[in-house]
Amino acid sequence: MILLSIKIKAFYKYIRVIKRVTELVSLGKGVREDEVYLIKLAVAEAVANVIEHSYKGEKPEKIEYLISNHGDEWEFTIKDYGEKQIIEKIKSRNLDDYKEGGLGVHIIQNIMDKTEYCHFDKGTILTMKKKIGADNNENR
Amino acid sequence: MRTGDFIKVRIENDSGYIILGNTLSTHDAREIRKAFDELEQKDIKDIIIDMSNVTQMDSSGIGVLVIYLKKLKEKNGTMKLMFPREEIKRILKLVNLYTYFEIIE
Repeated sequence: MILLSIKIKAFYKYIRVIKRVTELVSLGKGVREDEVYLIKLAVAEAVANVIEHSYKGEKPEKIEYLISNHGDEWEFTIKDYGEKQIIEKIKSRNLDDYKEGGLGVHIIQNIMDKTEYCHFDKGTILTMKKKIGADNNENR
Repeated sequence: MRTGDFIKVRIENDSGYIILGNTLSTHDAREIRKAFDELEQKDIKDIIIDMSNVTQMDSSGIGVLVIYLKKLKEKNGTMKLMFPREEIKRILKLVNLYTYFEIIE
């Protein structure tokens, strides 16, 4: 079931909008606050990565964000129309060779159960899946 | 000493204290770098980051701390994170940084 679908422009200031709507939707569905905190962090990192890597900085280009759930399986999908990254190269950074950047993917992968990147003709879709226990979720 | 609107710096017993505001994020990264540079210029090698006000953190904020911890270690210095809140500790544990930094609880 689609719970939310919005479009933003690729500006960092709109990340707070993404965090806020994620909070409203998930709290509204009875997700625990500490889970919501981490989910917001992961989606914010994902959008920041799109702005930085796909669009090479802030631009008035489109980012689409979708939240859906199938029972207790939640999906957070981010679609961009920017430069396609080599999917195999999108991976979390080892702290020993950390210079700057790259921790975002590490954070996303640690918070979400599964992350999938796929290309379409005009860009990239990132799907992040997380199972949220029935006791956390009112399943409304 | 004070740098920026939210981040404060002070020196006490040869240790530098960086007192963060309620965020440690992309937007704060420049101010935090400035705070570290200010202490580096005074040859302070032991730095304590007061995290007690921090409620929000992102990868850029964490990244700045990782970079400066590495720099300090190269000079035989130290960095400790003081009084992080529960939600912040949870993130640090998630990204396997909880043991990377020395934490004062």
